[in-house]
Amino acid sequence: MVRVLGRRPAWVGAATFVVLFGAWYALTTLTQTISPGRFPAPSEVWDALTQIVVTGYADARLQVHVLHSVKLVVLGFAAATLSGVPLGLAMGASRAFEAFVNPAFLLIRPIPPLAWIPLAIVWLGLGDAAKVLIIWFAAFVPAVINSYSGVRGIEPHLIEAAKMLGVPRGLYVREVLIPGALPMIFTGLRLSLQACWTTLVAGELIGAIAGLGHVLYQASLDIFPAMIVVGMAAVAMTGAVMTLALGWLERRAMPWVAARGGRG
Amino acid sequence: MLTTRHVAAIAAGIAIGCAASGTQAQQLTEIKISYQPALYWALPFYVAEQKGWYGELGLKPVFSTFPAGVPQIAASASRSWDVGGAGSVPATLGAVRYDLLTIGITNDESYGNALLATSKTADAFMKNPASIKGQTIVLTANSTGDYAVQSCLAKWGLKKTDVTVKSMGQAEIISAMSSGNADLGGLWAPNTYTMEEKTGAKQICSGQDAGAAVPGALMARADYAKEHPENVAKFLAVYLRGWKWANAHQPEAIAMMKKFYEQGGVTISEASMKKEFTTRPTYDLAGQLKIMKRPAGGKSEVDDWFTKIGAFMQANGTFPKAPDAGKFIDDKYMKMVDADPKLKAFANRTD
Repeated sequence: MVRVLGRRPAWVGAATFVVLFGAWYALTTLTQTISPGRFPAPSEVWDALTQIVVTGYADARLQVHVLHSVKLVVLGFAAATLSGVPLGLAMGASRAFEAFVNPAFLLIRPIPPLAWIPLAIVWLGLGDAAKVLIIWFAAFVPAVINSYSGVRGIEPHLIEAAKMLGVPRGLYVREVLIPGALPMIFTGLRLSLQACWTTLVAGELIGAIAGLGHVLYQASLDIFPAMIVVGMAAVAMTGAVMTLALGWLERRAMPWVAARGGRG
Repeated sequence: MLTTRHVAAIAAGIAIGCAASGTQAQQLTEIKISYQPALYWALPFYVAEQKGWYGELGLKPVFSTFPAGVPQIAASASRSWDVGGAGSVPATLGAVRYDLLTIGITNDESYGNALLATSKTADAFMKNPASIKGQTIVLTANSTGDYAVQSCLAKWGLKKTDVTVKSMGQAEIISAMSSGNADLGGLWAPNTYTMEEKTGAKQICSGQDAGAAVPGALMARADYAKEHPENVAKFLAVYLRGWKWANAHQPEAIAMMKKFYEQGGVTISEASMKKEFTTRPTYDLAGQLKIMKRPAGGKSEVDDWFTKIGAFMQANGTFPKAPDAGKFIDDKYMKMVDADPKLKAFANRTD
């Protein structure tokens, strides 16, 4: 019974795709209820995919665009993780540090990542650094907030027990603080990764020469719906692969959670 | 003191006025016109509206403006406009995607689409254009500016792959060049003048220099033109009169241009406005008919211009096959203006 239940979501998921594809084909090709100018037919999307893979579009082939975007997302995400998680942990662990940093953080937090674009160009020029800055900013905020919440959510008796036993500071951070906050840290990282992808298109408006955001931008200039669908699908699939990779890392980092059957 | 006779006279006057305006409103036919603000070729729309010329031909214009050609073309799909003006690249895109017709030419903007260099680099690039190889050029991809820049590169024996092209909007290009983040940029007027006047940048090559014809297009939705050909012809007559008047009364036209540009957020000097007139030829009715005339079995001058633009867009990957210019460039409506004595006289008026 359990096995059947366990399999059901996969079948349901596959069925969803089949139904969606069937409806798409029926509306755009069989009945032509939706005109090609409004939404492309599957055959047009296939042609656009062939074009970008074989001859290229927006100055490069699909694989080059994907690799370029992945590079930007990984750099922005890594920068956000390396800066945001320690900052959130420190704010959560020290009331004094939180009091010092929080006013500035609260001030910066509501600024939309896109608002940084003009300054990013002035500071870092038109290269990848400006794009990484925009992506970093989008990912930084959830990384900080969730790391902070993770520390604050650690059960007080664990902290008190560590203090009572005189656990050294370094050991306390490694064995109590980080493991206790880890579930929330990963929640933040998932949100950060999502933010990276949603900001990528805006980031690649800054004079990009390649990247999936660049493809989407160029396709919108060309009013090329089929290529827009290809770009969107590529973002969705690449984003999904990176989310799966993060999930794998999460399970490796928190084997005790996986053993309890949580956070699949 | 008001007497009964006074009150009756006033009431009668109001009634007659209302009836007259009601009749006029009923006679006017609405036509939705689209354009981009603060551009030279859009000036006749503004002049004609200010002077009430649409009403003289029984038209009631409803204007919609767009920041660029692409959203303008996209809006045609929802019938947001019936006729309008745009660059030749968006017009070609509109022909392929949404069956838009090119029914005339707004102006020859070959000089107004150009490659500019910052003040500190311009002289060196002009002296040795080959040194542009390996440089980064910021431009709006797949636009008339892009077409002019690529034509300039070809003139110097350079290919697109010899430089790094970064695509961005015109405002971002000005920002990037002003802040020293780019030395070369593809711009169109009046942004070229803004760059020259505010930063000292220099135009190092234009479409005209490179032998590339960059026209602006007057467009109509094919379905609208089929249903209301007479309105399309009237629209053209009003537009042509706009240029006739502007060219005959340049000082007054420049004063109106100043107001029109300021409404669109563009401030350039009077000298630059005069330069718009001297560097961007426009066409009257006879000129339009001449450049659109197809010799037996051959192509018109306009067909040739748009065929090259279609090939450029195909090379950029916009569509797999360049469109046949003969299928979307239609001089029927210009001919209608020419064939109707009233419209012809209207289009050629300079007052």
